[in-house]
Amino acid sequence: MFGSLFIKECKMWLKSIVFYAYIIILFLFYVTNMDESTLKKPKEGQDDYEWTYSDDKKVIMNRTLEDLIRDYSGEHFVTYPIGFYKEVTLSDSELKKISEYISELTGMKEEEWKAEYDKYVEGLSVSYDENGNYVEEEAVPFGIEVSDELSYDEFENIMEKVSEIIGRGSDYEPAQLIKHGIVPKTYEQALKEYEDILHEDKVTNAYARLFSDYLGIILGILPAFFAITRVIKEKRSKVSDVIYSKKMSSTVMVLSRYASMVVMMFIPLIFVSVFALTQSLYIADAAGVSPDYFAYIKYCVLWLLPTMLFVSSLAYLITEFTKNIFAVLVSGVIWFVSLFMALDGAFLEHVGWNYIPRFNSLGRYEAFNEMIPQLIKNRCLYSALSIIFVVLTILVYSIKRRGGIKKWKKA
Amino acid sequence: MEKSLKILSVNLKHNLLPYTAVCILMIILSPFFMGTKNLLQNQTAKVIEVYLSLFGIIMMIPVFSPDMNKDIRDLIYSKKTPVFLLHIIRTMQSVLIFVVLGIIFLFYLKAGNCSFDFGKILYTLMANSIFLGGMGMLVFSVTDQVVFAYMIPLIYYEANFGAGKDKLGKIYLFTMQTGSINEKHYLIVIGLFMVILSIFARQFIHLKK
Amino acid sequence: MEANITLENVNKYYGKKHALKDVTMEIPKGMFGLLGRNGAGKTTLMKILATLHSATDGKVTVCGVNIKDRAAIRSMTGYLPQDFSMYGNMGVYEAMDYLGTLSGLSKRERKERIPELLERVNLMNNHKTKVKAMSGGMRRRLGIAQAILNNPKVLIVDEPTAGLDPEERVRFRNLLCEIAEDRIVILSTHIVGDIEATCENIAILDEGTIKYNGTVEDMLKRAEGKIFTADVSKLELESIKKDYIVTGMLSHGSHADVRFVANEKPFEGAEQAEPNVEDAYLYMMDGKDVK
Repeated sequence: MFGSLFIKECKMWLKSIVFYAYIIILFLFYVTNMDESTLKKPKEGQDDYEWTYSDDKKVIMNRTLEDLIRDYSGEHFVTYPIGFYKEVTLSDSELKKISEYISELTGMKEEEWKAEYDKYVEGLSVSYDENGNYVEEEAVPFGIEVSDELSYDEFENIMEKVSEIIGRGSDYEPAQLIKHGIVPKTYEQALKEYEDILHEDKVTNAYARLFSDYLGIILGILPAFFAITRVIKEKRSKVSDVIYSKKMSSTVMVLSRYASMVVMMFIPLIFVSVFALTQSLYIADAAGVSPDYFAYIKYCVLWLLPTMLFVSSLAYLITEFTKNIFAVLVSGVIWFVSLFMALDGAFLEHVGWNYIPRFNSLGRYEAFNEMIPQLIKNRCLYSALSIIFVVLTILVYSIKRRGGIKKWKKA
Repeated sequence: MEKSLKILSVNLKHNLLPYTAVCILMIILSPFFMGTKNLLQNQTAKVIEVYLSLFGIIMMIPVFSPDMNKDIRDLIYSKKTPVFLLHIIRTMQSVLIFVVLGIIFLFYLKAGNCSFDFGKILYTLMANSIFLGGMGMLVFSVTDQVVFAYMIPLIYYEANFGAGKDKLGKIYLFTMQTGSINEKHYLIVIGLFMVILSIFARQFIHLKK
Repeated sequence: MEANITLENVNKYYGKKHALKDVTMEIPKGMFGLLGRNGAGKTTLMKILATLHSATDGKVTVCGVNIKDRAAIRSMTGYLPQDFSMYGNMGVYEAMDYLGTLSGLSKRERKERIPELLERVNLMNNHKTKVKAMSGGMRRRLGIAQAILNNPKVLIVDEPTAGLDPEERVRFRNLLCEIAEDRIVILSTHIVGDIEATCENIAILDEGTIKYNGTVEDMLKRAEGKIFTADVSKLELESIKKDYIVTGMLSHGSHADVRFVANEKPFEGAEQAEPNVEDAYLYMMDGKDVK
């Protein structure tokens, strides 16, 4: 029974304008966002090889300290709670605490490091070059460093306290600290990353990640419209009473609807991914490596499908419950917040517990590898939530079918 | 006059109230997750373009929703007041509400020592909102599907983050952040055109059916 | 197995509103009419029988099965709601096929039964017509076809003839009668004519209570001797309207023929008349406290 109902539900989507709009949006989104640049092998002696985060703990600690002392001296702290710039003004007692932490970090007395900093500032000369750009020249190098006795763990503990004072979304949160240690890539690093794209990622995987990153954005909202459309359609056509009175169990009804919308969203995604695959196959061929033909399908299933499941099940549940378009607002808000929360690094790479994982970099195999355990946990969480939402939807649907629990509901 | 007032009050009470509440909530919540003090022109522009532009989608799409039910639609269309007039009044009401809310918000920013050109920023808010809202109204009017009406402008809004100025040109929403106001003229004109087209289409489509 | 529906002390509350008050009755095989004003509780009762609402308390059994066993009840009932509709862009056949699937019919059963039923309700020639393009009558016929798709033991139809033109209404009534030959058909209506023409057994609901439950014949008998006609002047008409339940009136010039309910001969010139169903219905509704 599930089978034939499922097929009928799928066919219904073939008549829906939302389905075709979805396909068009998916394609357009892919086309407008995809970077067609081919891979270039870095050459020795090149001016710059872009930037990278340093993995030298010492560098991270010292750079963070430097930024903290600058912010402290300027009494100017900034947070990005959901990606929007927010200035924070600290009270005198809060500033006092920060200065105590700085002393703790440096192992110097307050007067000592302040004197050092003043020396540094005095040596600064500011000018504008011929293009009108702001140029800072340091006569005295920034000499204040983190105490040698301080371990990285201790450092992190202190920074956690500092970020608590400044507020959510500052660059001093432990997870953000590496951002202070941004350094130019060396030739060796650039070459290694290039080699990784060829041999570890087999080109295709690197591009498939970028594909998942872009498409994830749009799949963070579009599936909600599918679910809302399906429920609203039932309401607007006034078919509930007839359908409710039929024999079919609520479980089969809800599952067939849910499965059909997921399948009808997933098939066009596969088509777009095949399109993308052929392009990366071409790039792989040009680079002379044997590609991973299953790269895209792998990322579609493991990365994008959970997003799809989550967004559609949440919207389905809310809409089945409220019978109005309230879910547009809810889905819109979490989408908005999620997208902005990810905008917090020099690289747009963010997994955490965000339902739209971001990895807006081509390659960076090692960085991605480090994210994999979190990505797996993240995807499992959202898949599990989807299952819970669907079960709740079945519950809500079956309760509505027998007249609801709302006693005040009119006949 | 009395008739218009009646239309306005009924529309506010039975239609726009929850949407207005959402907008007010957006304003009230904003200080918790974004800076509203000491902002410069381009930072203010970002708040307006990225955040408050959504007012248009929230307030303008409901212009057509009261007559979504076919029976109600038939009833309303049979009355003496031409429907396009009804829709124009409702649209103006929606725009007025979000502009007033926007002005209140901008005053709040000014009070928080933000420095920006009030007129330009307000114009930005109107242009972006009317563009996105008009887009939603047009989709609603033509397809008669409310979900779809929200989907298209929201996706367009999102596309602005990825596609950028090169690909969207004159209808790129986030130009004020880089200090360019010229695009806003295009946005507001195209936006108003879409609003008028949608109201016209609503009338036409109904007559045909 | 029993072939009737029994209700025992059924109550239904919507918040404070007492929609059904201690309803106890039995519905036998054949056509059963449920009469009452708008808002008397007919739809509530029918929705309870169709498992779309649950009774606050009381016991309902349909052909021996407790109403709480929803799956079993749903598989042996067919329901046509008051304003039946289907997804607008579905064709007639498609809609039947979809609803048939929801009723748990196999593909083979659907292929067999759908054309047969569409033939029976005279929709076979329109089997591709989209639901949104159908007239009210066609839609109602589709509604009845889908309701009997699963060959239900019990068919529940809510206000089936409302909004149909007289011709359609007669045809629809006849169709229901045919269907009722081997099952229970419950129809609710506030149009007495529907009952008169079709039902053997009826119940009258008023403000949630059963005012009458029995055969049409019995009801007529009860009203016997209580219906009068008189030729009165227009001036007298107002006072008669105030004192009696007027069931009919035909005016000619300054005079009018009135038909009204009274317990005994009210005044000179009034003549006893043979009650029709409408008279009897009105008598049952309010007759208990007429003068």
